[in-house]
Amino acid sequence: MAAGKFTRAAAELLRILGTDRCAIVGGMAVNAHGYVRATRDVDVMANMPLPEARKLLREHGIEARLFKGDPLEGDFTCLKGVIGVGPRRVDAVPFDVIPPLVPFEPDRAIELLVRGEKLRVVDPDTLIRLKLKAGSAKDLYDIAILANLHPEWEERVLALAATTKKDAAQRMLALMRAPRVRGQAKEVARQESALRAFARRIAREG
Amino acid sequence: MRAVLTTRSALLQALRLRAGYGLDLIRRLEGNAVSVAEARVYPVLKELQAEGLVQSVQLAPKGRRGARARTYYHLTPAGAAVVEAERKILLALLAPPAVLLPTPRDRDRMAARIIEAEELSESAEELRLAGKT
Repeated sequence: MAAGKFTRAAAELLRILGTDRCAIVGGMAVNAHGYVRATRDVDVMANMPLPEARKLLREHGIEARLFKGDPLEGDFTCLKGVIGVGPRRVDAVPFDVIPPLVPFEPDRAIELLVRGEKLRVVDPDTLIRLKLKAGSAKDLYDIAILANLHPEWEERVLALAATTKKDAAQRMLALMRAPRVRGQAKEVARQESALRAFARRIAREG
Repeated sequence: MRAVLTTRSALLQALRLRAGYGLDLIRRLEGNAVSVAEARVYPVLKELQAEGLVQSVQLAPKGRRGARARTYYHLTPAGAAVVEAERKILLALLAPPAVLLPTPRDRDRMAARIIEAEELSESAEELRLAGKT
């Protein structure tokens, strides 16, 4: 079975920007690390100046706009564009290319093979740093869910949170322990376990 | 909390991705919660120039008539090599705990989750489009 449009778009962006210089971040990375939910775009962090990334994309016929974010609003400068992975309108996938907002070592990215497409997903440590830096309610919620799904992450999340703002570690701990977050994480884990059991059954019967 | 690096290391790392003038480099570091002693910035940039790790060029800001030219600093190839070597040391020091590294089984699960999320995303998009027609 062929890969879906988000996977193909991500693989193409990584090929264009250089697989050794970037990694998938954002919703797709959160999905890969365990918190599966629908996404509408592909986010790539590139270890290069944005004008260079824009030039590389343009050389492949992809136009990207430089979006100047307001740091006071928690935004950051990034490239925004749309990549087509097929002839239909629905084959268009919006994407963002962000600069290394946190210390980023592309060698640490996790290489995955998804239905024949090579992807490189940001490692847990960089993902945690990135989400803490972005700092929106959704970003912190994502980290809290992931820390509940992977208890081995908890200590690192709190240590990294402590380096950001005063009280950030206590707030993060409170969020991780919140009944709503724990409940959601349990549900995510239950669904994944059910899907794995289903896949095993299909494999046995098929 | 703010990190304190030596001014020399901090400035070299700040120049890694692009050139900049003194105040710009200080702001870049401040933006990443790294404090440097401002009074040390220009003397250290001069020292780095003397060592051949950094070069400078005078440029007038674009579109501002009569504006004072600024001194922009950029890494030389020797400077870039030093930056990469220092970066490797710093990253090794800050390396994430091994417990966060995925096993081959984790990788298979990660790939499966991407497929699952993709199916979910495409279904959500179909529903959105159906709602519009």
